[in-house]
Amino acid sequence: MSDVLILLLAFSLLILLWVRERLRRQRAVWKMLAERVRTLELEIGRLKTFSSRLEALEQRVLANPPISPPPAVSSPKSLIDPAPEAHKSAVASKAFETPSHKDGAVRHGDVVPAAAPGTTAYRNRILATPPTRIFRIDTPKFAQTGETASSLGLTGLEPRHGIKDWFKKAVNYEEMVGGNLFTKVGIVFVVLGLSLFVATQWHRLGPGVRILIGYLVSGLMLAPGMIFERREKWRILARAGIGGGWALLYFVTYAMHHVVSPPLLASEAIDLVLMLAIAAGMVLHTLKYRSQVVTSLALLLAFTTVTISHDSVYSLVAGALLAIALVTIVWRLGWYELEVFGILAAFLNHYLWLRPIIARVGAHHAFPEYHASCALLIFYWAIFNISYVVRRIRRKREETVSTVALLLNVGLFLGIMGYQVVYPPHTFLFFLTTGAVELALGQMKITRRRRTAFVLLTTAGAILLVAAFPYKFSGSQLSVLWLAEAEAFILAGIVARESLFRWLGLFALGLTAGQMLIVNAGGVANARWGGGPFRVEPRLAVLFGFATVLLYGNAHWLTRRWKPLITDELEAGTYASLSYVGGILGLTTVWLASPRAWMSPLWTMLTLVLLAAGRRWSVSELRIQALFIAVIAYIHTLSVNLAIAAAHHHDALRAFSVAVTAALLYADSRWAAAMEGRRWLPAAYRTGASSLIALLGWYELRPEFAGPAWIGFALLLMFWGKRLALRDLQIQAHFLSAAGAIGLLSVNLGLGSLGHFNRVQLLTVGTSALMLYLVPRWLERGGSTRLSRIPEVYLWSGSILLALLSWRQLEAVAVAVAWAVLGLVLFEIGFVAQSISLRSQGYALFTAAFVRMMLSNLNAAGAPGRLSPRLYTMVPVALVYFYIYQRLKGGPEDRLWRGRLKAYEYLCYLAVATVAILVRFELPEAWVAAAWAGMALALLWVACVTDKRLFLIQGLVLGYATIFRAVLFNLYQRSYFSTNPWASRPLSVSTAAALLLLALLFAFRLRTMEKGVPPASQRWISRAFSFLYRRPEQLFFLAPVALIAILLSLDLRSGLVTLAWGIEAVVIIAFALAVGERSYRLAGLLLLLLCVGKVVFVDLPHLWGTSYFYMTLIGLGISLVAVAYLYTRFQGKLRQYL
Amino acid sequence: MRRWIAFCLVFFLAAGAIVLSQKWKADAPVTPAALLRWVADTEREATRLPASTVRLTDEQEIQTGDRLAAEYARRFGPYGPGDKRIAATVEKVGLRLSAFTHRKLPYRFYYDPDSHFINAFSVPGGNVFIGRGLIRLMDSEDELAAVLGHEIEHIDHYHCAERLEVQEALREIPLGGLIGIPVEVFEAGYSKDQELEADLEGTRLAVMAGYSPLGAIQILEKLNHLYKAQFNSPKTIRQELSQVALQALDGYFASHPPTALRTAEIRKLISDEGWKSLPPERKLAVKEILKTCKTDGS
Repeated sequence: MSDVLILLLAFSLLILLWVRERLRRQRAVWKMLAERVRTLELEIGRLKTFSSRLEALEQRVLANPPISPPPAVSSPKSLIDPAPEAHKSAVASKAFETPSHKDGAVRHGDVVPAAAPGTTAYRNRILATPPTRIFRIDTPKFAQTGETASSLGLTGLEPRHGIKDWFKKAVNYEEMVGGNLFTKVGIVFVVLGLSLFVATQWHRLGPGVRILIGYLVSGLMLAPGMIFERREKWRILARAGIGGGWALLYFVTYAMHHVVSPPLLASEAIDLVLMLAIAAGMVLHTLKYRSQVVTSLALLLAFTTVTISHDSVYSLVAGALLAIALVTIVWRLGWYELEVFGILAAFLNHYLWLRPIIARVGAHHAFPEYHASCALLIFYWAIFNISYVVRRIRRKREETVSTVALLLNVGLFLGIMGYQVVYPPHTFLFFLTTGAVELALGQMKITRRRRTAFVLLTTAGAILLVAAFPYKFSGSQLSVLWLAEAEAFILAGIVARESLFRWLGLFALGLTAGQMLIVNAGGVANARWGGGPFRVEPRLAVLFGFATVLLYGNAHWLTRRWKPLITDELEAGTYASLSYVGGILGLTTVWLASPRAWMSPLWTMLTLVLLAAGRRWSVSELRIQALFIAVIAYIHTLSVNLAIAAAHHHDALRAFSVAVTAALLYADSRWAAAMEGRRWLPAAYRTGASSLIALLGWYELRPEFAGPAWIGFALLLMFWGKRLALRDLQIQAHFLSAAGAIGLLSVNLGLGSLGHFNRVQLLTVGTSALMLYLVPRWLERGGSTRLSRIPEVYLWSGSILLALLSWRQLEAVAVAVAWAVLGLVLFEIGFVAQSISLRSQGYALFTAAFVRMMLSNLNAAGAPGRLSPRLYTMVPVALVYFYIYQRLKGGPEDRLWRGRLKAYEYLCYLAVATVAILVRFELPEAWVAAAWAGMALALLWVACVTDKRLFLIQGLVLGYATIFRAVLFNLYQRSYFSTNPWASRPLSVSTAAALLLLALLFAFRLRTMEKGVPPASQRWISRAFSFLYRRPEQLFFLAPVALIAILLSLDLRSGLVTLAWGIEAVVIIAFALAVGERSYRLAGLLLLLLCVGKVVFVDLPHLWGTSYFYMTLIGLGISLVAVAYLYTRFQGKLRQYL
Repeated sequence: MRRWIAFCLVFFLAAGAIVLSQKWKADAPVTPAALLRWVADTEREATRLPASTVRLTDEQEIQTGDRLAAEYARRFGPYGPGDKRIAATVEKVGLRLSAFTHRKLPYRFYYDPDSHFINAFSVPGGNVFIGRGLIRLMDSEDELAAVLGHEIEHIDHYHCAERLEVQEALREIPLGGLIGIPVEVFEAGYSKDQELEADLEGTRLAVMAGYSPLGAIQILEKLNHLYKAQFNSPKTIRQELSQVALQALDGYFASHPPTALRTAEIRKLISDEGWKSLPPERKLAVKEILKTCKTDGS
């Protein structure tokens, strides 16, 4: 309660200063106005007279045209004359006198040189004369003697004399202090000292003695005062004595019963009547002097004396009587300043009486005088209210002072009632009742005479009615009362158009807000952060909420509604700063009211409201506060909400609260219109929201679902980013996609073990890959080259994920097939959509599948009775390669390996290589060569049909491989124990040779007869290959011929070998002649020569004497003859060939 | 339309292959072994022809091989109580097999009593070595016959002789100086073709000698189990890739073909040869000795 007292004293001081300032300003304004009015009146009078004179002169001139120069017009003084008749002759005689001043100025009494009347120069000359005082206006008596305007019957024009005028009229300050101030102070000290003496020093002297002394002193002060008051010189001192005398007299009368012990006057009623009589006498007597100071001094001293000595509530009745006296005086004389001090004195008196009682019994505890105290307070409040309502206001200043009195009355009444209340919830009823009464008073007819009174009472009543509820629900916080008071001051300042009221209200608001934050909120913070249990404070939240609304209302609504009133920059800035204080209080309201988990969503909601309001009314402060609160909400979400489930995993509260916060942040971005220079603001909100959702996914979901969730979210962001043309959403989507991909790589793809089906992995990675494929659909195109590649990144990522997924999920042998299938699908889509990126991914997958086959499928071994894994896995892959080749033939000419190789050629090589390698590993070893020969045959056939040299090259390569295999394996590898005829060397080698020979059919068609000479710089192998490429028929004839020759040499007995070779040579030469190929003939001849050599050097020594030798000789001879025949027969043709 | 038909055909064929793979779950370790063996076989085939032209005579091979064998045999530890019986069993089975070889060489069979020696190898000239550790894995004489037959066929098909010739060429030393060749040269194995050839021919040899071909499958599976214990199946892609890299280095000079492949080949052989009624397996007589006799504490 001491705080309240201090505040009241501070307010009182401020009011005093304000009054002084207002009086000074008002006086200055009145003085200026009076000067202007005076000047105007002079001018008007002068003009009227001048005009009449002009008319007269004109008439005269018209009637009597002048022979001589027209008479000079005299100075304005002579023209404009309050007594024209008296000065007429003087004017006429001096009409043509010219002024003789050195400076040429026309002065009072001068005669203006002649100028024709009615001319412009004439009029100008007249008007150019300075408006000197023509009229003698006597200074009013009141201005000279210091009498008040009201005493002289003059009202409305002259300002009343105030403290400053007294200071100004003082001869000097020394005289003022010594003669005036000391008088009053001295009287106060005397009265107080005597009162204390009577009250406290009773045990030394008898009660009767003291009373007698008191009365004597009172009389000594009163009597001389009355006598000397008539004299001007002693008036100040005398009046002080009168005031002090009456005050002391009143106190002594009061003390007869209430102070001295035993009481000198036993009957309380008699004492009361005596006090009443003295009070009436004091009032009537002091009124005689019409001095507010004297009467005020008397009354206030009387209050003070009662305050010093009271011991029971009934002693306060004395104060009530004084209050009645005061109100009466105020009503009669209009001394409204006196009422302000009276209100302060009455309530202060009551408070000082209450204080020791409350200290003794404790706050909100019953005490015996409770009801009487309430009745007295109500009496004070009522009587001052009545005084306010019934008074007649004549000047604005009086209205202002009345306003102060009203506010003080209501405020002090509620404050002291609240201080003494036994059952705090009853204060709510007091608020309601008081508010209702004030409101009702405001609607009364008598009140409505004065608009200000009507507005103030209505407003005060409304404020109380409204404030009652937050007061109740805030747990009877006195801050509500202060806030209501402060708001009342502000509104009073609006109504009364007084900036000081508004400043007081602002000051009070600020103080209250500070007190709330430091004391109330600070206490809660200490409790929460000091390790105590977390408790929600709904009552405090109501208080803070109320304060928030109030502050915002003042900062934004009030300044808009009464904008012309607030012209001072400092005041306007203060209102603006209230907005920020309101924001802090709003933030604190939520902090107090909500459980931890709900703070962030509610703060974000507050942000939304602020943004919406800021945008609606173009208030940048609200948007700045919104940003600040949003940041706090975001940090809180990170540190609190996301950590909620440390104890409760998968807690719905965390999910819901974070989701709501994020949703609200998104909504905030909608309203956070780009502020000037801060275009990033809406994007910042959206980024915060997206990051919260992403983190929520991380916390809420199992690790294997976080990656897909992020990618799904990225997809969503991309979609909406495109739709709403918000680039930042797309950027967020990129980051989320990258994070999701990393999560998939590190977590999802590590689930389970290689080659084992894992449903979660399949679903998550598969879905994520599909989503990554979809993302580019909504990606903004354009921009730099690097940005334009972003869609490709997504596509590649999706494909890589699918490839890795298949690697994880499938059996080792199936991985290559899966990659080939994936490549097939991607290629086909890329083909249709004309996307080189997708086709490139297909090529990459085809390559990977090939490598995979080499590393895994070739090692596969199947179970007996089942198809070989190599077969059923590598054949489909080869088919895929062939299919792609076929597709590319008529399609885009994609190039690989930096453009060196065409894609379709590459695929063709892969396909053929796959088949060739499969043959190598799958077929019985003896039949690999034959199979390759068959492949070479097929390739040459295809080369003929398609006219693609590509197949010829592959056919040649396989031809070489066949020869290599046949010579180095088939001819030298065999089982000693095998009984399988199908694995025998003659069958396999001869089959291979036959197939190679069959390929001649196509080789001849494919040969080119171009004689392009290879450059000399080429190596021999290149030149040789170039020759063979152009002449494939050489390989496909000579190689099988050699094979057969070697086979014959290995499988036949020595003697039969020569015979066989001879036959072979004959066949060769015959064929050579048929096709006209010289090299073939030479080969045949060479073979025959070899036969001859063998016979001579090998068969002869080893087979001599055996039948084989003879058969060999005969056979060889026949062969040689046959060859000779052929040569002779086709001699002509030979020459032609040669 | 034709294009779509072709696409669907290829697609569903491939999809069917995937389904089949998942259903049948073929054993296919991810290693470059197949490619490396192909390269090695190709190199061998490339050297086969010149090797055959400079092949050692049987006498030269026997002479060199005997010297090598004597040198290796000196490293053996002392025989324990049961080792002589084991050695006698080995020789008995070996001689039974060698009666059916193509090359008539003086085949000798050496038993290494070291329990840590889980291997068998052959040196030129008909000398075959086998370790106690490998015999301990066996449960039947057929398994022993399969192993010995495998090693005999390395000699029979000139694999050892060719290796000797290669060493001679590589080290540029005369034949007489080849005694110093480390035994690891012959322990390390041969090319895939040679190994498979030895498997198949050795199995044939065993069958001709009256043993069951299942012995080869059984011992191979036991060796495979040991191999897998050393090289665990990869669980992750990263492990698989690491293993591929390691085995690419390791497998070029050593290691046999994948066991799965070898057993598959043998099963195929059994099917191709039409061995319907297989002789019953003969229990290994010295199994009890191997269980109870602890010569070196293992």
